[in-house]
Amino acid sequence: MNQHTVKAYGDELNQITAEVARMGGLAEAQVSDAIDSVARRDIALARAVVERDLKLDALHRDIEKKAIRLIALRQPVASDLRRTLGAMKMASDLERTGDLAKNIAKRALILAESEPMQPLTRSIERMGRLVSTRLRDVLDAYTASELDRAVAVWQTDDEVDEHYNSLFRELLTYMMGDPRTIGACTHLLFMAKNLERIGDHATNIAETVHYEITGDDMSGERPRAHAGAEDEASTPNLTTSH
Amino acid sequence: MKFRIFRSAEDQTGAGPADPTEAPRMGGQVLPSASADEQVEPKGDAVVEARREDATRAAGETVVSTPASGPIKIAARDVSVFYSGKQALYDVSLDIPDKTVTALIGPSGCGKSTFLRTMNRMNDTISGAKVTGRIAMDDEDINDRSIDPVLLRARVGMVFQRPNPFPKSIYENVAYGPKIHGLVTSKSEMDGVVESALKRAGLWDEVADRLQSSAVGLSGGQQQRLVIARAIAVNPEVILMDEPCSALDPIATARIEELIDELRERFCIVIVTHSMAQAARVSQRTAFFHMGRLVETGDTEDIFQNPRERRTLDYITGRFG
Repeated sequence: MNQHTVKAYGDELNQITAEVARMGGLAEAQVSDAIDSVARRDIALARAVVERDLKLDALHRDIEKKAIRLIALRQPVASDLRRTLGAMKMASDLERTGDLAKNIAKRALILAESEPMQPLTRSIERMGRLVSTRLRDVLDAYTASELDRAVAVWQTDDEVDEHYNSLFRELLTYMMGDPRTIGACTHLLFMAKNLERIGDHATNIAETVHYEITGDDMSGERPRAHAGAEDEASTPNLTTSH
Repeated sequence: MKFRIFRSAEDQTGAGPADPTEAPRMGGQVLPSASADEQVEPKGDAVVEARREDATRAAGETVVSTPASGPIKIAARDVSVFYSGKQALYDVSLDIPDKTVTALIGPSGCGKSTFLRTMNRMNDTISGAKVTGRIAMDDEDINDRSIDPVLLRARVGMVFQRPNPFPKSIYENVAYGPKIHGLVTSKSEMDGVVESALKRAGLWDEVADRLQSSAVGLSGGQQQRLVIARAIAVNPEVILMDEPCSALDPIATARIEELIDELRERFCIVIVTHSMAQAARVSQRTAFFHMGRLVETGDTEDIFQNPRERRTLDYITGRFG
């Protein structure tokens, strides 16, 4: 892409993009540290995740401010407008991602006080790794403007749903087997739910990247995992659509 | 993979809808060709013809064009303009729909004003200027020998960058056109024409009590609206505007833009503007010119949201050069 004739305009746009990338890196680290804190029962790390969330919130506000200022002063059009709006949307997705990571870390603090439940935390860890990878992939797709990579993330969201559904079944079995584990299992269930949500935000970001590059919406239905937790618990909308 | 947003020249050698000359279409329907010597051919032949034509085109000459909806008022085909042998406009083919504002944008010297001037034969007045190709207004060749350029200019009015009222009274400025064209027979009829033209131009309330004062005493924005009133007093079909707001302040500009939006219900309006924001605000169709060639034309909202040509994108986002 050619340079803007007004250099300051180009610089401002690049600054917003760079800040979104930085926010992405931080959100990615928050998710992966939150999972580590669960897996290793690491109280210090969990506390660090909770504290660092403030930084994500501040970045989110800053990106919004900069984007609004750019729209007011530069009136971006076409690809520049999509880039500006895309940055705002991504910043909110990343901010939400950070909140969910913080919530996982808070639950890790509570779980650390009860008996370890090795096989279950390992399942959470596996799901967490998967979600982290997707988040990293989509953020890489954003910084490198790689459409294929973003589309690949969008198309594989059902993997996360499948993980979530099997974890749900696993937890249910545990709780039925030993009611004393219900407290801990509920926390793990919420963690799984949070991870599933983070996966949804990664999908949202993939859609934003697609729009930013092509100017078109993603077309077609995203593949979804059927016959999951909803059926067994007979409560609808367990897997929140977005 | 990096995604290719822009069609390269090679992509267009196929039978794409890129070239409006291949067969003028509207809503999938093939319209009668606008070219004089060319009969309406079966569609297949037309496509073959277009392919041959495309294949011989140089890379820079491809035009991305999405068809306009609604009836076409002016159809330009392969219009070229030469000033003293130097070519200023290259093979421009463009459909201008009726009751629509069409904006011509592009950097200085890109040919947009030259093209605008071909539509009421203003280039006739420049010595050494030559126009080739065909410009049809309602299927009638405006360069035909039987057309009187003076009558043509009554049908195709023009508003310039700097307001150019006659150094006469406000009333006489507006009455001048209807008088010389013999459109009115009595004084009371003329009063009615002047009043309605001034009202339509949004100037009546400001000048009703001083119709006999000199037009030169009006502010720039008022003068420009007076000139528009003068243009519409003769009941034209098309109004050409060459940067009508570039000498006006933002308030006067907004009033002219509001006026353009109102006039669009009755007239076909073509506006040349350097302000991209203005093109986006007032027009429904946009044509982008560069170096004497038409590069891209389409609905304004598409051009400003997602242009298909890289040069268009670079221009509207301020990355030229």
